[in-house]
Amino acid sequence: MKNLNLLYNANLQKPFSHQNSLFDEQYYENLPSLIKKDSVDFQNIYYLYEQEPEHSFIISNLIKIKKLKYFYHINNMNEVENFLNKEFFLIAHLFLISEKIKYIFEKKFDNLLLEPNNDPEEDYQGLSVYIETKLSPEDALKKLDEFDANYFLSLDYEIRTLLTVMVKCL
Amino acid sequence: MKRNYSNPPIIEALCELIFFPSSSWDMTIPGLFYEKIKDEFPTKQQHTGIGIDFKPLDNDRNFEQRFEMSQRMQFFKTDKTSLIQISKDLLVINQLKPYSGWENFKPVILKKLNVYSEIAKPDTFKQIALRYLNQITIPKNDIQLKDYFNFYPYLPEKLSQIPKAFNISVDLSNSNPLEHLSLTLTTSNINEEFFSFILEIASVYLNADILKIGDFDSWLENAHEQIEQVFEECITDKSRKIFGEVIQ
Repeated sequence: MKNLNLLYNANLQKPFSHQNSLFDEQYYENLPSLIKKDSVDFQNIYYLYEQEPEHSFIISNLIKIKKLKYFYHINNMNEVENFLNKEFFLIAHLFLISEKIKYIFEKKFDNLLLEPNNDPEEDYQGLSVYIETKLSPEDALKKLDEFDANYFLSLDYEIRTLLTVMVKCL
Repeated sequence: MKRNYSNPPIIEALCELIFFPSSSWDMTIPGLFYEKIKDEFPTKQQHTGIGIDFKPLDNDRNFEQRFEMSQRMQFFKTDKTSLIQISKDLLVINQLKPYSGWENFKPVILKKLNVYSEIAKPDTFKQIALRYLNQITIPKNDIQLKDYFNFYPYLPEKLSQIPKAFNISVDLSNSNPLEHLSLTLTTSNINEEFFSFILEIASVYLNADILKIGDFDSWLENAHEQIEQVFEECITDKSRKIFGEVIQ
């Protein structure tokens, strides 16, 4: 029973619960089944986490970054992970952005892609979120404008310079 | 002999101090603590955790679910390389990359414990730990763990020697039965090009109430020395080459 207890404790650490309202109960109800579906290395991070209950900032962040896999299809995970380890304040926003997109696009998207967005000439490093949707380009852009106006533009400038959100019509 | 590295693998060093519940704790303490450290650690963030716990009832088949909420303040340096975490009866000092050496980290720990003690007036320690997390990345085409580690999962010869993922952990006993050294090696990241591992070495003092706060300095020094020795025992020269050992 000890292991079950620890596993639940580790997984139900609500990562950004000061913004609780954007997480619904379904998220927690689904967690045990989601865990089973996850990769083995994710499980290992949990084992480490059990011994180091969240006081290690790096392990705590690694878990949150791995949890992003539930919400995004991540291209080039290592680069994303390295970037988020440096710019860890973005992690909370990525969770919230996925929830906002779900709400504003009324779940009318197939996938959320998260990938590095680098421009060596400008010495720029950031992340891009692509909303893959079967909506028409007009409808998709309208939803994106709504997302910008109702949420994204209210974020700090620093966050907006590091994150780009775009639509990709399928 | 102490070894030095130009590219040390340390991704985090942390000192975790848990105190026995004290009657002098109140909600103003994090604010008073912040006042004292804000020049060095100006950026603050609140971390809220919710845990679910299962308490066995009178028979093995029924459990009572209990939710617990904890509020923790995190204070960051502007460059985000270091943070202090504080909550009820807890003080954690974390040093992230770049780790600039024990000679710099230890005074931060002692100074912050001093500030915490002045404000929160803890009675005794409950549990203390010094932990080092090292990230070691190996090219995937060269994955022979024994070449890089002296502490790794042993696999029978007939099995594939290329692990997909693993986690091994050992607690080593100490002359003081209340203390132990904990070693953990786990896969943290695997892609087509490389394997990345986290080697965590921790010196843990359970039931640390017999340790006087005034004796903490010598415990800390000893704990660090042990961790350094264990680290060197756990790695091979091939790893030292990756870390850029500086021969003096």
